Amino acid sequence: MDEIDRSSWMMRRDVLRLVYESKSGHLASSLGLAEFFSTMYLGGVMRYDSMNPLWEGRDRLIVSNGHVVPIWYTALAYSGFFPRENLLNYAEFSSMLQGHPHVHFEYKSEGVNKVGFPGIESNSGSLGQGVSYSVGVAMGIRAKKRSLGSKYGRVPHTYCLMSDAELQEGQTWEALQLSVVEKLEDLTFVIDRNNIQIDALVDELSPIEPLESKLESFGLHTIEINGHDPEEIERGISSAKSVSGRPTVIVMHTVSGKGVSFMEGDYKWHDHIPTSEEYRMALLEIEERL
Amino acid sequence: MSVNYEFVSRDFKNSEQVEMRAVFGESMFKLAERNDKVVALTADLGKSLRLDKMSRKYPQRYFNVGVAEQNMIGVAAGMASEGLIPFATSFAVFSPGRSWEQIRISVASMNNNVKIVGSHGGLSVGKNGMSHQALEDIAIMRVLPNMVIISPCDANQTEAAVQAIADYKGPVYLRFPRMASRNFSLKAEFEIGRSYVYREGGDISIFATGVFVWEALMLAEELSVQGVDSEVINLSTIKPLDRTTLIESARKTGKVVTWEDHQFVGGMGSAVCEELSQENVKIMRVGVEDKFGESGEPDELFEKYGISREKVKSKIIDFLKA
Repeated sequence: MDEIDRSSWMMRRDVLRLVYESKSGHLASSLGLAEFFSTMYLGGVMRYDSMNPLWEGRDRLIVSNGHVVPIWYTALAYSGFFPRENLLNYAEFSSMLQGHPHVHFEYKSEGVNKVGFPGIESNSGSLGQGVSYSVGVAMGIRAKKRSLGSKYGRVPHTYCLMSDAELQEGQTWEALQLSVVEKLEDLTFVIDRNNIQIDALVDELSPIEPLESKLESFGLHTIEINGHDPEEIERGISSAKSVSGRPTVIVMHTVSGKGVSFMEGDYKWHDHIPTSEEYRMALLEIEERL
Repeated sequence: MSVNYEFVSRDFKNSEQVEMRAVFGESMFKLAERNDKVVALTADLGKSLRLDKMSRKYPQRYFNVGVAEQNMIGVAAGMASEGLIPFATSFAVFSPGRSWEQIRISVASMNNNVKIVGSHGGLSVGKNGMSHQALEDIAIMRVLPNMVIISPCDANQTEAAVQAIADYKGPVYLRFPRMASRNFSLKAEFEIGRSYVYREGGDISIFATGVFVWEALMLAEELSVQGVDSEVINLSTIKPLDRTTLIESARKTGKVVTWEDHQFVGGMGSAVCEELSQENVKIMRVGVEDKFGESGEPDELFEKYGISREKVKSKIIDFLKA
């Protein structure tokens, strides 16, 4: 896992730079998700074709907490979907790197085209919506299960990343409930349990523990992992995929702002842009790990 | 007779009462038979949307997601992205309404191929009262880019519209009433974006939608007795508006009346005003005048809220005098 660890820290550096240079972006959550994105995209967990982002045999990752695009765009760039040099165009006018995930469909006689950052499945930024979307995607794939299975020897898996604060939106529970009713075994939810939201710590504003038992009582196969351990992430996903008859939810514990001592665990860094001094200090800490 | 019998049945005055929603359900069943990509979702209103027949024959393509409109739209969007053609159905007050922001992001902003169906549009919902009478749905869907809005005039047109909507690639909102209404149009082809001139006339243009199209034809008969020659146009597509047809009519008569079972602010009438704002024309909007509805029979409600044929007749007579 050394390679994954190294990639994670390299991505952290890119994320920090991208947010600082564009003076926009959600830093803390993005830094906390480096191991997750590194493992999914570079650790062989997700099946995809960066040269053909809409390859129908791909696994689908819906990022419902769309504000973590800084780490997502970075991971997609590292995976060959997009040139790394262009990451600094984040949130700029006319840039493909929109502030939150933004793609749209174009319908031509030859077929459907998806316009926007390659590798992005859906528009997000409004919490809760991606969770429902991922349920629909999994149901859509299920409808073509036989043909996809015979073509690719496997059924594409759908992943939905979401935040813990996002569970405050009622829609998320509507979606989780339906996913169980529909027995969506080829769907895995991952909750980024970093305990921060914009104005507060989640557990101080609106405590959700015991979270696992709430999710279990909805009928989801529920597991807990350390989101900074690539091996645990991999094992968690494997476990999820081995369960049939119901979807899995992985409660993934991460430290927001991971890698920068003065950011870790502090909700103020959820949407705060570092000053040049803070940037310099943060960069030093991350580069020490490389 | 300047009624266009290419579109209107010769016996339109005596046409039978048919529920558009009943024909919607039947059309969905037939559509599902022809196209295996078509699926239906409902937020526990499948019976009201007459989807039972489809649900029985195609249970794997029918999803009652429960009373959860926001989730329904997101799920439909995900399904559409995987190549299905989902019709997400509910009462118009609930979807759009509760699900508006989901429609905004998961459907409209992605130009996603989701068909949103809002039954029970308008005061004509009747006894269930205000909470169930959608008077704002056209307004809130009009402001979404990429959204197409269809409001058929009767059962025959609903049937044709369902097929056209399934063939169309992109987001569509289909709106129809609860009540049975006169089924008077001929089973002609339905073209999205086209407004149909059902009656030609030179004194006044009546742009109507939904149940008021037949009412407008009947009103035109009454007005002609008083020497007023009305042009009646069916605005079965509210977005995009058929600019050419509407402007031609407006220029001919110089006086336009819009008539809808919806607030007179923000709906079809407002769309017409916007479109004709640079024309030399006077426009009178008929709709519910900034009030919520209440329980009653449709005709009692139309009368009280000033949108019945009788009320519109006197409004038009005053409008013409001014």
